[in-house]
Amino acid sequence: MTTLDRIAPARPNRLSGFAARALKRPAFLAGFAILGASLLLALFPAAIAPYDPLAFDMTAIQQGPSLAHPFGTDGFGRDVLSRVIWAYRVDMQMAFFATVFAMLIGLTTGALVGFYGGIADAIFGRVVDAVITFPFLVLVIAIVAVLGPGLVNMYVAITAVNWVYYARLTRAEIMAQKAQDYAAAARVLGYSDARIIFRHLLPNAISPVIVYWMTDMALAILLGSSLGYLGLGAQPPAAEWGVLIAEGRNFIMTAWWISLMPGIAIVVTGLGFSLLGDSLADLLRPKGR
Amino acid sequence: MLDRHIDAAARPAVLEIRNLTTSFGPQERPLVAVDGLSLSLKAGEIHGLVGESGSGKSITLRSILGLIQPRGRVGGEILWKGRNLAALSERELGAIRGKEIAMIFQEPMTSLNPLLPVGLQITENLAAHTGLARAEREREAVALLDRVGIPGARARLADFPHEFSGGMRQRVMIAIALASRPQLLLADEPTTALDVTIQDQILRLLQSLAAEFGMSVILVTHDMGVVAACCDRVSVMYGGRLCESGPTADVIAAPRHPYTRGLLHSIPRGVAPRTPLYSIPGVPPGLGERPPGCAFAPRCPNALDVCRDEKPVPSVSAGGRGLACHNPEPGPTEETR
Repeated sequence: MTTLDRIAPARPNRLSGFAARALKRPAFLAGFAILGASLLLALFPAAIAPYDPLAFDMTAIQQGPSLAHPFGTDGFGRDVLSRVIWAYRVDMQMAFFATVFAMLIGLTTGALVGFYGGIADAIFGRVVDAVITFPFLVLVIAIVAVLGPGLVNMYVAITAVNWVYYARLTRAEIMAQKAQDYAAAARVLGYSDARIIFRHLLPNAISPVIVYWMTDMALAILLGSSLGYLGLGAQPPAAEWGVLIAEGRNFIMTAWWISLMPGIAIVVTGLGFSLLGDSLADLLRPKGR
Repeated sequence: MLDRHIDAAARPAVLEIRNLTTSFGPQERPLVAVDGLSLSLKAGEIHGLVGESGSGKSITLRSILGLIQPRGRVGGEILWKGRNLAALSERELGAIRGKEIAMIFQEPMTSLNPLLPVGLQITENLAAHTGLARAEREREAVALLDRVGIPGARARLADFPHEFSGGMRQRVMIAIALASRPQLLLADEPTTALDVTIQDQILRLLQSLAAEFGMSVILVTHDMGVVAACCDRVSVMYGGRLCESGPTADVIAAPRHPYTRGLLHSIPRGVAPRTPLYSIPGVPPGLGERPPGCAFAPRCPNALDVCRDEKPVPSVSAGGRGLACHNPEPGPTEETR
């Protein structure tokens, strides 16, 4: 045994092991590339976009795709490519902020009710029932209608509904982990509940939540665009894909590119999140551990 | 050996279980998993708790640490250094768990947190129960891993549980449990999931650690061979009740309860190959179907009418032997005295 230890090669870095497995998956690579590019566009739109997204050009109104304007121009002569690129900033933010608070709240609530059960769990169950009775979009629209349109109110509305789904998922995972021997072992070692929940159980329960979060970000972009389209999310003249599609809807027969190009951006970005989420699900699934 | 025996007999009991009753289910129709168990454990003593599956051994261990509440109910007294553990609150128990009383489990494969390196899992216990500084904790973790026989201890601190074999994981579990220098170790079938050579190593390890730290051990097992190999005293359980208890050598040399005899008889010794092995006929009664009299009566070769109707009352005879049987095998005490 000791000799074996001595002659064994230096162990490879654990993270690089994960990366090596990840890099063998085309789906992961594609998702990673799409989101990496999206993130770049969101962070540095000014450097990448060829035109000012808000600048009118009355000499080039509703022009089709050309070399000067690859995605064409809209009714005010604004460059659609530049507006789609600037919209990355808003839509990537939406993907993140509309989901991250829901995830954090859901994770904490789900972990607590899953661990303690009892009355808190029963009450939580009824809250879940109440929330999932309504179609997601209808409930969000109702809350935005009360709060008033705008990005921040949209985040609040989505979070208010969405945390329930994360909490439900986390609760189930925590209950499964709680029944494992190592959870009993931690209890036997006299560790505090907080330590058992957040240090021992939650890290073991978190991977499905992370995967769901990825796909949920794709949904959040769709949802945010839908609300933008309906005039309840981002407000014009801000460039946001849903808003852009709404702007082009009257010209769909004559200037199809105004709505189509942001639509493609939504599909591609959503695909990126889904691909990454799916391959992460495969990668995080424990194998022989 | 003899010195140690006398020594042990003179020491005071650290753990005194009196009439422990653990039940589950509805109050009016309870399922009694442990029924009136009494047991006394001296400092540095290894006490074997033997019985078939479902005889209440593991539940007894879990009752000691208050792990079965709130789903189960614990009655009777569990006196640990003068305090009744059965009456302590969850918070008060938390201060005793891991620090004074530690526990190791049957399945070393699943008893370690798969996501934390083993070094961290040892130092975590040290951080929770000792005042050691970070560097000292690390040094102590290496010393512990070394003590439980893990080669290259320092290099293995950063390894994850899945990088260890079953026997090694059980050693790690023991290292974690011992980190806080507990005075009592509850071992719930620590060797059942391991193969026989590893089993022997682990038992020897437990024995030497108990002697080294003056630690008492309750060793739950269904293997009489394990008991014979390392226990000072043994209690045999059946159907949640105590059948027989006493110094291991005495009980094995002259078992008085028919169930103990059956258990010992089940160990093949000097049997020709391909002969059928002995087993006690029948199966243990389920939790809900315990007979009104002696739990073993339906399977007992010595059963009388009284056995079916009346629970035998445990009695303690000379030599510290306890027995609960209406019709025991004649013991050496009756023959010689």
